[in-house]
Formats: sequence, C-alpha cells, structure tokens
Amino acid sequence: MVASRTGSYKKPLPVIHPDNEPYWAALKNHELRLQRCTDCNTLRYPVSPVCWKCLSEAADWEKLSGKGTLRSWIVVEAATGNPAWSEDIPYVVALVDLAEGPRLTTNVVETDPYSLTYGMPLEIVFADVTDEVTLAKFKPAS
Amino acid sequence: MAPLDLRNQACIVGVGTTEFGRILDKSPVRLAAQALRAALDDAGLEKEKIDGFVTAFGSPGGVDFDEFTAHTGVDIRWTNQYWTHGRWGTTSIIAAATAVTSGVADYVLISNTNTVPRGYGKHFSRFAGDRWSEGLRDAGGGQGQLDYHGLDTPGAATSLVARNYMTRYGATDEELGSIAVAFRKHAQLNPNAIMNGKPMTIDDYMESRFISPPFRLFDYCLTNEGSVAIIVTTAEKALALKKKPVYISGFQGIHNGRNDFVFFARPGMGVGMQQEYDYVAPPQRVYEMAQVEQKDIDALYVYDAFSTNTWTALERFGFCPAGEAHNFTQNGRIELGGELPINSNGGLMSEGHFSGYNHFVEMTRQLRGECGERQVPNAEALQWITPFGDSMILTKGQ
Ligand SMILES: [Zn+2]
Repeated sequence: MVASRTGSYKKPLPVIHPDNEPYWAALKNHELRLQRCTDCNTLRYPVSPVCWKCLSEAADWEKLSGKGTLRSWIVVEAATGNPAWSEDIPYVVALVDLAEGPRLTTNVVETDPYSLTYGMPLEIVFADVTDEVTLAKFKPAS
Repeated sequence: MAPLDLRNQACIVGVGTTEFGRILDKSPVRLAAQALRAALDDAGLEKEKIDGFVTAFGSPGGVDFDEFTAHTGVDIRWTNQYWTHGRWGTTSIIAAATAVTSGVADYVLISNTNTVPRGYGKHFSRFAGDRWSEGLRDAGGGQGQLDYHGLDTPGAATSLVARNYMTRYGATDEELGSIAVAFRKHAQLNPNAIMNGKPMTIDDYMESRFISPPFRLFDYCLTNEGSVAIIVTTAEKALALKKKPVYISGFQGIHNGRNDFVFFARPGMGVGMQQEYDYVAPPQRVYEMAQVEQKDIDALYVYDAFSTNTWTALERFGFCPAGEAHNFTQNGRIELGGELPINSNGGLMSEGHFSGYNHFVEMTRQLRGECGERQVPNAEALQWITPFGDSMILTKGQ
C-alpha cells in the first residue's frame, strides 16, 4: 500500500509492503533497523527479501546506533520534480555513512543547509511525517 | 566455440528524424510515422521491406510495437521493446544487428519518440505521476532517486555525483561549464538543433541560475518533442541501397552491478551502493571487436543527459585517468576542430534529448560526410559511450 495521506503532508510517501514493513514499523517506533544476514553476516541495504551476497532469505532485523557521518550532500535550490518540495527549499539531500556500514540517501535537517562539512558526525532524527510513516533523517550530532 | 564475429556484419542504412522542438504538439504516432518516412526515404527502401521493430517506448507515452504496426501498416516478424527512457540506445542497435545477422529479420526499424507533459503529453494524463518506473523500487535502485527524501529527479540525483566528483578532484564550476558551452557551440552549426541560433558563452553559463548546485540550468539536457528512426540491415543487403552503408563495427552492453550506474556515476565514486576506490579503466571489448584503437577515434558521442556524464563516461572508458576529465575537457579539446570533438550535433543538452538515438543519426551522417559546416574531416571511426558502460563503434568499413 502507499501509506495514506492524513493531515497536511503532501510529499511522496514510501510504498510499504510485507517485504519492507518491518523497516517502516521500526522507524515508527523510533528505531533504525536493517537486516543482518544470518547465513553470511552481511548487513543488508537496501531493504530486501534476499541477501545480495549469498542469496539467503534468512535475516534478523538488527537495531542500529543511528550514528553516522556525512559523506556528501547537495542543497536543492529549486523543486523541479514534485512541487510539494517547494516549501522546504533550500533543503539538503545527503549520503550518510552509518556507523555500522551502509550508506543511506537521506536528509540532513535542523541545521543551516550551508553550514555542513565533510565527515561531520550526525545522528538520526525520527521524522514523523504522517500518523503511519516515520522517515529516517539526520542532524548534526549533539 | 568462439563467439561469432559480428564486426561489420550489420549496417545502418537509413536515418530519419522529425523536426526537433521544445513543444511540437504532434502525437507520438504522427511523429513516429514522420521519422519512419524520412528514414525510408534516406535508405531508398519501401515500407513493406521492414520486418523487424525495436523501440525504447518513448516518453511519457511513446509508440509501442502493437500500436506502431497498427498505425503504419508495417508488418513485422520480430520485435524487441525496452523501458521508456534513455539507457537503451546501444542495446536497441545491438538487438537490431544481431536480429539481421541471425536472420530473424532482414530490415529492422529502431524507433524512439518523445513528447513532454506541457506539449502533446498533456493529452496523456494517465501517465502522469510523481514516480518514474524506477522510483517504484523501494530504495530507488540503480537510478537512485528517493522521492520521499526529496531526491525526486535524475538531475538532483546526478548533482550528487557532480558534487562528489568536484570535491574529490578539485574541479571548478568554470570547468564544468565548458561542457555545456562546447555542445552549444556545435548546435550553432546544426540547423535541426533546438538551441540553434542561441549561442552561449561561459559568462552566460556562470550567470544562469542554480537548480541543484553544482548544477546550473545549463548543466541539464533539454526536454522536448520529436522522433528518430534508424534502419539496420546486413552488410550484404546494405550494398544494394541508396547510400553508402555505415558499419556497426563494435559494441558492448550496459554494465550493471552494485558498483555501476547509480546516478550516472562511473564505478568507484561512492554514491548510492557503490564502493569508493581509485577507478582504473579495464580493457573495453568494443575496441577489440571493432579492431579500432582508442587513439583512432575521430569523434566521440556521449549520453549527455547531464554535463558531468561527459566526465564520468570519459573516465569510465579510459580516455583519461580517473579525476582528470575535468582538465581533459578544457581549451577546446572537445570542440569541433579540437583533438577529440564530442557531440558534434549539440548533444542531448543542445540538439535535443532523443535518448541518444539522435547521436546515432549524427554519427551516420558524419561517416557519410553529410554534415556541412560541422563535418568532422575524414571521419572514419566514431564511438558512442555512456557512463553506464555500453558503447558502439561505427565506421566507414574497409
Ligand atoms: Zn548472506
């Protein structure tokens, strides 16, 4: 299902289905969890029904620290796709290296978009955008 | 058994386009039929001879093979159809070449048609939506967009590659601008280019507005309407047709894996799922197959959906080492008259975004010597490259 649009949130929402539902359910509980392959120990990203390394379907949903570092970012200055993003201009889309390994595409929030530096430590922000959906965003570590 | 040697076994024998424009307000079927007529005329071939059809479906709704045959009366015995956008140029022509050499078809038409939402696409609201087909993947997949984090256009996603590249290798905004300026210069010599009559200096570029820094407006390709048709047959049948055949001498396919395509990066750049490492270009099959050395390429054609694609593609194929393309593209080297002219038609950025099929039309015309003011002197071997690893070498043959 596409999560329903309750309230005033007009931006795109993730497509939640049984394969990825535990990921979104964890975020809603303000936990970041990714799958750890119980056959080869690979931490899986993106969320997937199979391990990209060994093709096993077995995995545990491991709770991660929510700590990371800023690898790279852009400041979007014009909403050329969905116009709903206009209200956020300028906003940051970033590549964040999680302490546990995977590199997420996400947003850095709660700071001046023009104040970021390479490698700066970040921590997760659980952004409750609708009653059903929480997005994993990041802010400078306190 | 060794692989079949398909070098110079298939040829491009006819090319045709409609006019190219920002908005033509003509339907995809009308445009596709106009390009077909132009290509048949160029080849000196009757419509009834076409018995194979390849399309990358066009955008947002092009003409699929059922619709095409119903409207044009073309009667086919082989077809192949790809996704709606620009990554399928090489693959389409490889498919046509292997079809004619294996005999499943004799004359294959490759057709690609674009309309835009504010042009004829406005009649196709059923295609509208805030997701590309790739965006339906949970994490954007190879294309890399992630709409719910506001990375919802290929341009924004590719600007992440540009930012990574420019920071890592110390490339400047002016160096980036030299790509758009070179292609715009070429468009001034191409009457069918959408940006013909609209010259641009580096100062114009630097003054254009930022969309997603480091990308300014002119780092993006155009969005536009029009259609391209290309006809492929065997080398033997080609000799009986109107014009000198252009030989499909070498090719290689899209390379894809967790280290590949992401946002028009080359491997090693550390975007999306990619590992980050110092990339060194491995030997490329396309040269071995074509029996052409890289130094003998007379002009290059690049899938320039965004300016940095030129850098990532040059490095992917080893025209220069990783991190040096931003220097390589300076001082007129990639302009007509330079050491390695790139996109003599003006490219997707200044001729028009026809998914690279327009580049294949240009390569064909260059090898025939039909390009007038923008003719590459003594063009014998031309190469098409993309950041995602596919490539084709066209030559005049022996
Ligand atoms: Zn595994």
